[in-house]
Amino acid sequence: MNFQDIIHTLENYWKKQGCLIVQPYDLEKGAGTFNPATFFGSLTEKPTNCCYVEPSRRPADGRYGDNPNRLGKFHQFQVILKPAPKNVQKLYLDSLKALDLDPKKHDVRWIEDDWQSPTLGASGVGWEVWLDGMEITQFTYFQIMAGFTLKPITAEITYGLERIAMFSQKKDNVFDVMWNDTTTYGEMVKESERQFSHYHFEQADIENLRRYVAENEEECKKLCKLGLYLPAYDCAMKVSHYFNILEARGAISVSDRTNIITKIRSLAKLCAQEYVKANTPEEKL
Amino acid sequence: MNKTALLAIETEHLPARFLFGALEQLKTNTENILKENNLQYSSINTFGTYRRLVVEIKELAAKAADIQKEVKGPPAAMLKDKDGNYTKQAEGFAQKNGLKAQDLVIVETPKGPFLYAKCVVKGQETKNLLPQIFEKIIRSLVFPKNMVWEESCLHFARPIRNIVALYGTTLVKFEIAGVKSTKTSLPMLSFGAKPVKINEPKDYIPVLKNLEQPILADIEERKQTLIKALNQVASKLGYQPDLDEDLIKETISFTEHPVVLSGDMDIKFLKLPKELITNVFKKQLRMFPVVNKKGELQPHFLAVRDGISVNQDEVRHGFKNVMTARLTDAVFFFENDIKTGLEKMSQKLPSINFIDGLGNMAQKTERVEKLAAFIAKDLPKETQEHIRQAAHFAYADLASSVVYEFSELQGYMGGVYADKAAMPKETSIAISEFYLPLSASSALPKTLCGAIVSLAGKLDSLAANFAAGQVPSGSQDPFALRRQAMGAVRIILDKNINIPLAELINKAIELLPKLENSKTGELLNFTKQRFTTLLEQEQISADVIDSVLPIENKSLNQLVIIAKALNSAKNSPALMQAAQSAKRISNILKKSQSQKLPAVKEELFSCNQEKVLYNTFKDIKKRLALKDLSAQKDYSEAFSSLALLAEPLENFFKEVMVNVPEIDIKNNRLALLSLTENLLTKDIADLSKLQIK
Repeated sequence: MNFQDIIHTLENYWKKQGCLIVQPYDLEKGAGTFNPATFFGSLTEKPTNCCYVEPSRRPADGRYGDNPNRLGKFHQFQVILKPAPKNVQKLYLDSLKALDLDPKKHDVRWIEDDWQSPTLGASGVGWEVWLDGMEITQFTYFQIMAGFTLKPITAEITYGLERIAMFSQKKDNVFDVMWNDTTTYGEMVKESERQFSHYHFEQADIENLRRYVAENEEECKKLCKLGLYLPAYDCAMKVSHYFNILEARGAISVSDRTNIITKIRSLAKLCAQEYVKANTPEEKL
Repeated sequence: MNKTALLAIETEHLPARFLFGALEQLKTNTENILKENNLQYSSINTFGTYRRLVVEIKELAAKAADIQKEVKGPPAAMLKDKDGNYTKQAEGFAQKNGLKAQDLVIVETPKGPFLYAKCVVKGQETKNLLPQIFEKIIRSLVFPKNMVWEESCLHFARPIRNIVALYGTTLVKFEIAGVKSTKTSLPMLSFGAKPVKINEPKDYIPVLKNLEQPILADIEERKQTLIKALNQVASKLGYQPDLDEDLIKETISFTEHPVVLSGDMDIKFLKLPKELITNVFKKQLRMFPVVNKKGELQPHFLAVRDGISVNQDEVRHGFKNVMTARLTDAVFFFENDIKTGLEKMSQKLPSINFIDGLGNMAQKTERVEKLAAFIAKDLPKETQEHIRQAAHFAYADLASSVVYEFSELQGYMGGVYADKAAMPKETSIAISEFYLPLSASSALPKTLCGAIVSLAGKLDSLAANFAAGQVPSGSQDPFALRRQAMGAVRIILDKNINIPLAELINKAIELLPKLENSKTGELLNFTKQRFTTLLEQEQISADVIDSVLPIENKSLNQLVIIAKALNSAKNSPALMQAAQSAKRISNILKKSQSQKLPAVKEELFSCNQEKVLYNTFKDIKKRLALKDLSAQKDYSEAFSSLALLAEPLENFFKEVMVNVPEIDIKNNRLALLSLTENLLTKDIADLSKLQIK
C-alpha cells in the first residue's frame, strides 16, 4: 500500500470509529503528543476521540538523506481516545487489517514500553507493538500530563507511518517507499533531509537559538498570566524545538540539558494549569 | 461437598518480566486470604500467560469452619441481684453475644471469677464468601509498576478485560474495575475469535488448548513445547539451539503458544565476536542462536512467534530483516571500535563520570593500577607488567560503542579489543575477566592476573562508594556492593592472596580522596560479613566464626584454616576450660583498668602457680614459634598447645590473689595474665568468643 493510501486508510478507519479528523498542527514538534489536541485534550474530563497525521522533527536524527533508516523529519499518525475504550487493543488490530496487515498472518508482539516525556512532564504505561519483529506503533495509556494525574484515562496510539510503509511495501530503504504509485518518498523529502541536516548540524546560529529560547520562554509566561494558554503553549513548543536544534548542533552540555528540560516542563505545566482552570466547571475546581 | 474453585484474571498484555512474580504472589495471597476465612482446601495451583493469571483451588470446602468464640464479660458477681434475678448488665452482655443470661458461664481468672459468653460462630457457605475472596485476591496483587485505566481507578499492571470465576460449575458473581465475572475465557487476541465457554475449573486448560488457535496456559507445558520445537527446528538444520535459560523464561512469558521458525543469517556476520552476536540475539531480538556440537555459532536464527504459523515465509522475511538491521548496526559499532582502539578509548575515560566527588573513570583506573600493583608486589616482574597493563585498560571499553549499546559486554569487549591490539594473551584475558564473578556463586576469574585486577577494581569500587557515604541498607543496594564484596572475598580465597583483608581495604581507602560523609570505617566489617557467609557455608559454627573474625593480621585463607582447626578442636574440654579462663582474664584486666603494665619479672613471683603459669606460657610461645603455622594440622597442634594453659590457669585462679595491696606484685600478676590473654585471644583466635557448653 503506498504512503498516501496508508494515511487515507487510517483516517477512514478511525473516522468510522467516530474520530474527529484533526489536521496537523502548524508548528515544529518532536512528536505527535505535542499537538494541542493531545496535550490539552487529555487533561480534562470531556471525552474526546480524534486522529491526525503529525509531521515530527528530530533534528539530531537527520543523516543528510544518506542513511536508509534515519530521518530528521518523519510522520506519525496519532489516535487519541478518551476515555480509553475497553476493546482498544482490538480496534488497533482491526486497523492493521484495514492496512492489509492481517494480524493472523503476522507475529504481533506487545513489548512493555512505558512512555514518558520529561519535557511535557508526562508519562504513561503501554507497549511498543512489533510486527514480525519490527516496531511499528507506540501504544500508551496516559497516566500523567504536565504533572496532572489524569482521569479519565486517554489511550494514545501512535503509528510510525514510514515503518509501516516500509513493512507493507517490503522496502529496506525508506527513500524507496512509494508515496503514490509513481512518486517515491525519496523524491518528496530527500532534498529537505539534506538541507535541514546541514542547517541543524552546521549552520544553525547558536546565539540566535539561545535568544529564541529565552524570548519564547518570557512570552509564554506573560501569555499564561493573561489566561491566553493557546498562544502560550505555541511558545512552549517553540522553546522545545529550538532546544532540539541546539542539541543537534552539539551546543548543550549535560547540566544545560537538564536545565532547559526543566524549563520547558514548567512552561508546559503553566499552560496546562491555565487550560484546566478555564475548562473545568467551577464547582470542581 | 468440596469443589474446585478457579479464578482467571484475563488482562491486556502483561509485561513479560511480571509474569512469574505475579503467579507467585497469586498463590501466596490466595493461601493467606483462604486462611483468614477459615476455608479448607487440598491444594492451590497457579498458572497462566501474559494475558491470564489463573489460580485453581482444589477441593475447596463447601463452608468455612465454625469458630468457637469466648467473650469475657463483667465480674461473676454481676450475674444476679440480691433477689436472685439476672441483672440488666448480665442480660445486656448475653444479648450482645446472641445468648440468654442463663447461657452465660462463670470462668475463674487470675482476677477472680468472670462471666463469659461462649458461642459458636457458624462458618458461612463458601459460595457466599467467594465473591469477596476473589475480589480481595485481585486487589492484593502488586506489580513492579501499576496503572489505572477506568472509573474506579483500580491499580493493576495492565487493564483487566475479563474474569472467569467458578466454584464447581457455578459462576462466582462479582464485579471489579467495571468487569463482571463470567464463565467464558478470552482466546488469543490476534485471532479475534469469540470468548469460549468454561464449564468448570478443570476445563480451563484443556478447553484453551483445544481451540483452533491453541493456548498453552500451563507454564511447564509451554516451556517443554518451546524447547522441543527449538530442538526440532535446529536439528533440521543439522545443529542445536543455544538454550539460554533466561531467554526461555522470557519467551514463555510473552507467548501463549510458542511456535519456532528458522531463517538464515548472512555469513559475513560471523566475523563478529560470538558474545556480541549472542547478545544482539538474546537482548534485542529475543531470538535463539544456532550452534554446532562444539558450541560454535552457525549462520541461522531461531525466532519464536505466538500462535500457529501461517504465512510463515513472510514472517520469516520480517524477522530476518530486523535481525540483519540489528547485526549491521553491531558491525558498524564493532568496526568503529576496532578503528578507535583501546588506547584511544582509554583517553576518553576522563569524560566518563564515576561517583560524584570521586572524579572520573581515568582517576579510578589510576587507583586500580596502584592497588593491583600493591597486591601483585611479590609476583614475577613479567606478571606484574601484565597486571599493570590489564589494570590500565580495564575500563577502556566503557568508551567503546559496543559497550555503550550492550553494557553486559563490558570486560568481554575490552578483552577482544586488547587481542586486536596484539597485547599479550595474559593481559587480554585479564581484561576480559575483570568483572567476574557476575553473581554470588558464578565463575571467578581463572587467571591470576585477571583475579588480581578484578580484586583491585572491586576493592576500589567498595572503598569509593563507602567514601561517598553510599552504604547498602536493607534491600537497598543499587551499586551491588554486597555482590562486589562477596566477589572480592571469593577471589582472595580462590587465589590465596596472602595479604590480610584489613590491609587490602586500608590501602584502597588510602588511595581515595577524603570526603565529608565518608563511611569507610564500616567497610571492613561489611566485607567481613560476606566472609562470614562463606564460613557458614563451610559448616563453621557461629562462635568459631566470632573467634577468628577479630584476627586482622592474617590472610583470609589462614582464617579459614584456623576456623576449621578450631571447629574440631573446640570439642576438647581443656581448650574449653582455657577459653573460659580467657573470658575471666579479660574481665579482670578490664576491671583493673591499668594503663600500661610492666614486663613480667620472675623475681616478683611469690607463688608456685605463678611460676608454673609463666613457664607454660613461655613453653607454648616457643612451640608456636618453632615453625610457620600454615596447615590445618599446625593450627590443630597450636590449639592443643593453648589447651595446656587450662590447668595452670585454673590453679592460678584458685590459689593466687591478683588484687593485693602491693602494687608491684599486683601489676606483675596483671602483666602475666595479659600475656596469656594475648596468646588466647589475639595471636591465633579470640577464644573468649567461644560458646562454653
